[in-house]
Amino acid sequence: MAGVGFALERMTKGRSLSSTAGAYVYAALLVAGPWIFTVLGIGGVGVVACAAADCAGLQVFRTIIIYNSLTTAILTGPLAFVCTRFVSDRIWMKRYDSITFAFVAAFAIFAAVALLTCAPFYLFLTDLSAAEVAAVLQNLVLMGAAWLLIPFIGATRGYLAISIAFAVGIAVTLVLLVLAPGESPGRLLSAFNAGLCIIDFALAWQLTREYGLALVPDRELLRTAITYWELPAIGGTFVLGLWIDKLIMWFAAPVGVSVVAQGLRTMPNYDTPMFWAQLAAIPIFAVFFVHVETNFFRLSRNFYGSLTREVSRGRLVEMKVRMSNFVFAKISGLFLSLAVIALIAILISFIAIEPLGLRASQMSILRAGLAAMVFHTAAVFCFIFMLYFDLKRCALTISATFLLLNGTLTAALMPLGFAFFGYGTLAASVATLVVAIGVLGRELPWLDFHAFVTNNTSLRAGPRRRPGTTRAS
Amino acid sequence: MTTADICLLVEGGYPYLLGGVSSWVDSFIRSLPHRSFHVVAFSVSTQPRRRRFELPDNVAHLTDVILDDCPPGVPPRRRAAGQIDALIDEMRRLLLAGAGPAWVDFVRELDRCGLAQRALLDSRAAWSAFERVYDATVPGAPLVDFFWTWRFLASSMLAVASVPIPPARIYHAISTGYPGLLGARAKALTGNPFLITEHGIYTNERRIELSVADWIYESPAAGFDVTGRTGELRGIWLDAFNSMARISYDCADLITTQFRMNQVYQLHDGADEAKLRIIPNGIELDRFAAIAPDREPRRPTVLLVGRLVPIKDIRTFIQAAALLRRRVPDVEALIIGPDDEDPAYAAECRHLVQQLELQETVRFLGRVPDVRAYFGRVDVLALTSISEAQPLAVLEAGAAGVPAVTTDVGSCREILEGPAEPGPDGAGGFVVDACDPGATADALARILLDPALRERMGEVMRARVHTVFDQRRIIARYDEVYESLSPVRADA
Repeated sequence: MAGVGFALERMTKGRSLSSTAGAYVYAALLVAGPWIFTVLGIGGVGVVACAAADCAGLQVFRTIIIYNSLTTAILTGPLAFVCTRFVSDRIWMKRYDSITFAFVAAFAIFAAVALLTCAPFYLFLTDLSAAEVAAVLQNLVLMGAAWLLIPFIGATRGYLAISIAFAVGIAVTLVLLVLAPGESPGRLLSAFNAGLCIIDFALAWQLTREYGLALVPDRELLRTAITYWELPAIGGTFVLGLWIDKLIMWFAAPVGVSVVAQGLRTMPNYDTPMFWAQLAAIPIFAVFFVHVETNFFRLSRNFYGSLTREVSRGRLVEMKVRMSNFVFAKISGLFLSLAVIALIAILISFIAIEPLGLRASQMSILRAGLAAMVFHTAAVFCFIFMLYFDLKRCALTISATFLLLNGTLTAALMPLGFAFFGYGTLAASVATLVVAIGVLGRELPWLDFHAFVTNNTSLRAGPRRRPGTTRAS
Repeated sequence: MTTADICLLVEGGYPYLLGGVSSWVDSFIRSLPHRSFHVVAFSVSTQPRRRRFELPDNVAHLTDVILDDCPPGVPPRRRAAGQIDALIDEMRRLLLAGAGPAWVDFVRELDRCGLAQRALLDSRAAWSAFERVYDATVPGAPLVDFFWTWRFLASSMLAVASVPIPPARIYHAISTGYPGLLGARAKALTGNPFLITEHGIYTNERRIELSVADWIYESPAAGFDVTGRTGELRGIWLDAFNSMARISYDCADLITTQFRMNQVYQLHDGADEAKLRIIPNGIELDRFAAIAPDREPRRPTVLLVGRLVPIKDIRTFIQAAALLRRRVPDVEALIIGPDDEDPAYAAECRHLVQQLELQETVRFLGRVPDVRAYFGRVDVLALTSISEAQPLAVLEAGAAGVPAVTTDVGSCREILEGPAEPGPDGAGGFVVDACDPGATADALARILLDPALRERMGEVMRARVHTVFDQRRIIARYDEVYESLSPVRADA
């Protein structure tokens, strides 16, 4: 996001407090626009469509959206990581002709896997009607298309377009529900799907405007996935790590599990506070992309750019040390900021418990979730730095560590009862941050080695002649 | 794999590229049908691999050594940093100031530990050692350039040090450099004899290449003069090629070259005088002896046979033709040779012809099916090259009785004037300084304007070539060398 970050950074240097605050809100919308607008949309649907507190259709609708979000995230995560790399490489090479094809290929894979796995689930393991299942599957495919389109548009820094598309799409959903009120899951899903159609259409229009409509098959897409096998693994483990504790709770918690449509299990007592806790990280993500990433981009551009400017080793080491110091200083600063945000959130939660839809019994989960957010988000920043340095295996180590520990510790602490819910994720987050700092500390002194050897594609260029002996005749 | 009589180690293209050395190798192998050969071709991964020569029947095997693709080797052990550091330091010493015994110790150590690319190029320990090499060798130089320099030199050295030694009774390298390194290794590991034949002097050729290489960064202060102070990265390359030559010479049992001047360079590069022998190039006399001079009336004609590339200095020939026309107004200057290797230079030459208004004098004939057809129709051969070994064109024209004017490069003086000073047999032409159009034109004019001199020089050339450069005799000498080096055959 560095290109957008520079503009945002300039905005934050405004003279008035309001202009600075406005810049950060704007940055937050760019950073997490789809997420924010989706949350607002789901909340808005509840307000617009269901006046009564026990609106059964709304609960089914929300559960379906959660399930579809989970499925979409897990399936699109690996694809999005591969596509992002492919698109970046194509843009760098100024070869745009196969980018639209890459999206279509990724979407086809997603749609095929999603429909093959989810259609039987919704048809045979829930009591949803055929029409409702059709709407659910439509929602799944539309949501997947939107999540897959985001990295393609993001590659050309079209973050504003993404956020506007989501804002308009969600607005359309709400308007439709106002014009044609109803609270059945089918009605709510149809309105939501109409909004998603707008979002998908807007993003697809942006995609084809950038890269054209022609579908030019390119084997390089597959080669990217194979060569950089770590990328889909990173995408998969990262997303699954975020959801694994919820999945374990839904299917193994002894108390508090909610079942709708006969087969859709969730645990609002756990999901809601954890969700709010994760949402609290958004302001710091905005700070990261506005200030940290832009300054880091300058330093890394100096470092990597100097390699083509005949720089000496001494000068390169100076730049490396400067960049390493910057990374550690910013991780520390961000960690402190996250801690302050978490503390404020905990204090606010005492008075905002009702607006947040929480009960007193959920406060310990919220606190654990906020503490976990501090450590996990700091680990995610380390993870992002790893990806900036193209240290894919290190990034995979971090995402896999969190997945493994979050799943293991959540399951391990579950028998201790409701009071310990969320502490598995907290412990996993702490341990993951420790691992992430350790990996960063180990790798940053080797950045020049990685630039010259590990990530030097020239050393691993295409098919080459192989040595060997042949019979002459 | 069967044991070949001779393992021929060739860098420079055979059998994948056309060229002087490749043609010599092909002809050489065919001339020794009673001996079996194992050819080892040294190349880089980007070089095309389509064979341009059909391998003779007596070539049993062909091994490719890809210099920029060394084997991965065994993975480094956790605590191998010290060993890696020591090996890399040894590589540095070998590349910068190598000698035969150190190379032998190094290849034996590599043979024992099995380390190669993974440990010695791609590991963190290797990077740390590389940083120390940089600091000790070229502190302050562009790191990226030194990285690629080191990477190629170290990788190629490891490729040569790791390739399985083809089983053979004698190892014969057609240059020092990488073939020489492998020959030295083969000699150390098998104990079998090792022979070097140098056409051009490897270190000189690399020096010329490096002096014009635009892929090596040097500060402008370093200069680009081949005779002047070399820049630090060029210096490393030159040191490496000098080291390879020294290692090759140290380990060789015998070193042959085609003419005396080359031996001076070989001695300078560290060769032991006792190992040096001269075996000139040979040509098939029967193919040229029968060419009779064309007595039909025609314009006085000068012929140059050579590619249109800077090293042949065609521009000097064209300028000489302009000066020559003043004294021999109806002179015709023919240039036979391909023009596709350096199109820019070829265009420059054609432009110069127009600029000097020589369209009626200079003719570019391009590639011709058989150059022999022209030897009967020309009066004198010109050679303006700034570097040569033993130019076949001069020998072939000489065999047909055509005198020559050549620059003082390679063995041209020996060919034209004989092995000693011009003796009673006289000279077969004139030797002039390189890049001197005036002297070239003067010498050509003397031959063109004096039919008796021309006749006498032609006969001298014909006699000398028949006496000294008869291919059958030359091949017999190589056969004798092989025989003298041959270990006693186990199956004999």
